[in-house]
Amino acid sequence: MSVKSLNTELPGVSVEMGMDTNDMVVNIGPQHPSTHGVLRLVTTLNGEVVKEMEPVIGYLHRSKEKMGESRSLFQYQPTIDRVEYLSSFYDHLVFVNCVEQIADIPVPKRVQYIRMITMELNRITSHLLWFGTFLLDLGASTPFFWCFRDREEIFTLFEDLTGARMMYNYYRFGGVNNDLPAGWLEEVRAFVKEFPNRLDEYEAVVTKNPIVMDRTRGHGIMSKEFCLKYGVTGPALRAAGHALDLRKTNPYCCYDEIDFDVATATEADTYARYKVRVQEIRESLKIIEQCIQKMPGGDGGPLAELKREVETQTKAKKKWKEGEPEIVVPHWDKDWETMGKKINLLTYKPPAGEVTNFVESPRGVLGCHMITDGTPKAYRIKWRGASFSNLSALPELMRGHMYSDLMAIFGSLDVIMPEVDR
Amino acid sequence: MNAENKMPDNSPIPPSHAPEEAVIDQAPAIPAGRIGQRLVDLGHTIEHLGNDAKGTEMIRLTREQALTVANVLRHDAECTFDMMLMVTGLDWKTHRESVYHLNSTTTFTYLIVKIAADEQDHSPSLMPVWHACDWHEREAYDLFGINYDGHPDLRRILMPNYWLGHPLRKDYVEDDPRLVWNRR
Amino acid sequence: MDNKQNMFSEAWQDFLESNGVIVTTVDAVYNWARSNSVWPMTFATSCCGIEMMSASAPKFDIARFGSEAFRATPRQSDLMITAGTITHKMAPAMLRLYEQMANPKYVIAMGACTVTGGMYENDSYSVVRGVDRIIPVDVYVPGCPPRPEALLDALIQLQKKIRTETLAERRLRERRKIVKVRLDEDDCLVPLEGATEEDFIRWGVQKDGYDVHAMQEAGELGLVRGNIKFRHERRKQNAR
Repeated sequence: MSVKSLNTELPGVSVEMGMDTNDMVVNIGPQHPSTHGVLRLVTTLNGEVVKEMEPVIGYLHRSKEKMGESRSLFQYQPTIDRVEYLSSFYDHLVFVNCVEQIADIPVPKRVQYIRMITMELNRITSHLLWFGTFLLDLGASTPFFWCFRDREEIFTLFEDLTGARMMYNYYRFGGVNNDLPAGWLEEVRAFVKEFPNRLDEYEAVVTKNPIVMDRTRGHGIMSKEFCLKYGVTGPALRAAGHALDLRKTNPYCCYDEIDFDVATATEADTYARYKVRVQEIRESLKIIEQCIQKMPGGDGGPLAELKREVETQTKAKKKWKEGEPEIVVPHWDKDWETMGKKINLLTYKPPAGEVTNFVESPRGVLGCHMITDGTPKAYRIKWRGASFSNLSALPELMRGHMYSDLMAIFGSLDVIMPEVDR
Repeated sequence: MNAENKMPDNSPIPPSHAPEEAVIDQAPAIPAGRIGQRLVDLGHTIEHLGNDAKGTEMIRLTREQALTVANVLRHDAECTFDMMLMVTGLDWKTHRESVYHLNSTTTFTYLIVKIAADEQDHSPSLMPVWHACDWHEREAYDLFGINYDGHPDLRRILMPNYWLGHPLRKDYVEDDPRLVWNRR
Repeated sequence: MDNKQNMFSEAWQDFLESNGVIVTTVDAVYNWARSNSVWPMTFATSCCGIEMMSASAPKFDIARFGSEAFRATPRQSDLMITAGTITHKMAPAMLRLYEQMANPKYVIAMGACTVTGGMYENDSYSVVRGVDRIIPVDVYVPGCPPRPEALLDALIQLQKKIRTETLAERRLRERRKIVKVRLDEDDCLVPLEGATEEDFIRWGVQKDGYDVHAMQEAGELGLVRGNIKFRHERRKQNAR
């Protein structure tokens, strides 16, 4: 809405039309309570209306891509958690998939399912953080504490599995680092059972809240053409009505065996993006439940015992002599392994090749373009962060809006800076 | 993903001649993929590079034909590549190269387009075709020094604007007396 | 370093306290009040910022240590927790924020990236190897990212440090002029002439004030050493 229409709508206010005003250049950031990371927005304002907004990025450029060239692949792997720290399992997946495709390493099915469960839990943590900080930017501080409490529960699950709260470094080339601990699947199942009730509670406070609806409905409309123009992917594109979800359209891991819906909306405004993300949390819960049911090999405890049994019986069978009682080796499926191929990671040299992989991270399409040349170090590793393209849409998106809408619109884009700057 | 998909052209030691001089009938016959065949049917001569390890088709364009072929890729009914996902800058030691990763939101296929820069590191900007190339080409300029002709606003995006040199080049040496923080 | 240099023995103090009289020093009361309300600034650059937010979240709850209010503006905060990697581009901004904080101010360097450069120390071209090259740091927290409990431990160490400061040290700290750098037209930090390379590279930008060895010898630094105890701990030690 333009300044003129704003002034005439206010009763009892008489303003001289045709006032001469200067444009004001305001600098937001790089340190600001509401920017999601270090981002500087150089804003040109005409009163309260944004005329130009230029993002200045690079405040977190940590030369991750150059580090990929100076370290061996295995040495580089712990550092890629930080490319998109809220969804570090996705960084690992895209990296590990690249190497597996270049080197033709088989991946057992159990590993695929473990990866899917961890990735969907990670999606839930990322969306919960977005939920909390989005509402914190709008001024509501309670959902922030709710979301962090739930994140802590998932972090406990991750800590039992991988040993770390945030930077997991759990996937390996062709598998995962360790099998599931005993009882882990039951804990995940309990969480998945209990969490929808809490989500209903949060939604009851937020979704029909008149303040939230007033501030978010009708603002920040990103139509499908607008999204394609800037390469915007993820919930923003899905809120515009276009169901581009790489888990459905170009399935990786075992997503084609799982039944779930792609959350879309049609209004393409901030409120629609909010609703899409909340729906995605629910879909993730569905996916996790199905993965737990379909997990090849089942829970980690009995499977570890079975593996030990198989090993002892196999060793005993080798020493079997005629006349001794029959030794039965229990059945062990190749799908139940945690590593597809034994690799000496310290001296690992992938063959020369090139591959590009894209996965659907909580923010959009996350990609890695890897070129290897037969040495332990990659020749070039390029990361595509979804927020890089999402952020490039911000100037045109904010033009004409009021300055106070910035937090709602920018928050709904869910931009985090390490993806942008790498 | 069998061994035939590993093409010889992508070895890191680049051929001694510039890529556009590699005449098609001299190189080993790599069959055209679906998009490559479509472009050849429409009359463009392009270099087919086979598939990468995942199965994505790769083609190489010369600098002269880049804009026209890109328009075809975007608007043709059979190759509707309307989303540009990322631009990778590459530094083969004798020349630089840009790799465009395209996606079609209707057929959900990917395509990889490679365009080599010349000796003065110039390359045509594909911004008129995909506006999303804006920031990605700025990043490739910032980190590799590839100058995109036709880009309306080519300046540094990730490094501070007082930085000397292009950091991701293979021969980059940090030699700036103003940077005192990195010395051990 | 013990500013509870009161003239009464322990027995007398117990007698007075049981009758509702506390004998102490101005320093002690002032420092006790200050240390229990250290308000941090939200300076979250990257991953450690998330753990800082987790530390203020219900499970770890930094508010019970007095750090209830996270101020976004440096002018109203006491503590700058540098959570996250500092790059060359960000360094002038961080220095400006530190200068805008009002004295007495403290810095916790959280995370490996701000302590020494972390995983970027070896081969990154754009990361500042440790935030103490730019601003003086009081407590270092290693970890990548450190657990919220580690951050709370650092906050407790800082509270101990605040409690053991004397008025004289505080005056010295307030009078300390930080920067002998100027920002040139490219917004690039340039040290002034006169400082030797060795000094300003290892300890910060200026030769005086942040020369940690000199400060230690002059007794200005107030480093938290292992033998500084709270009063109830000292009593327990004396009782044995």
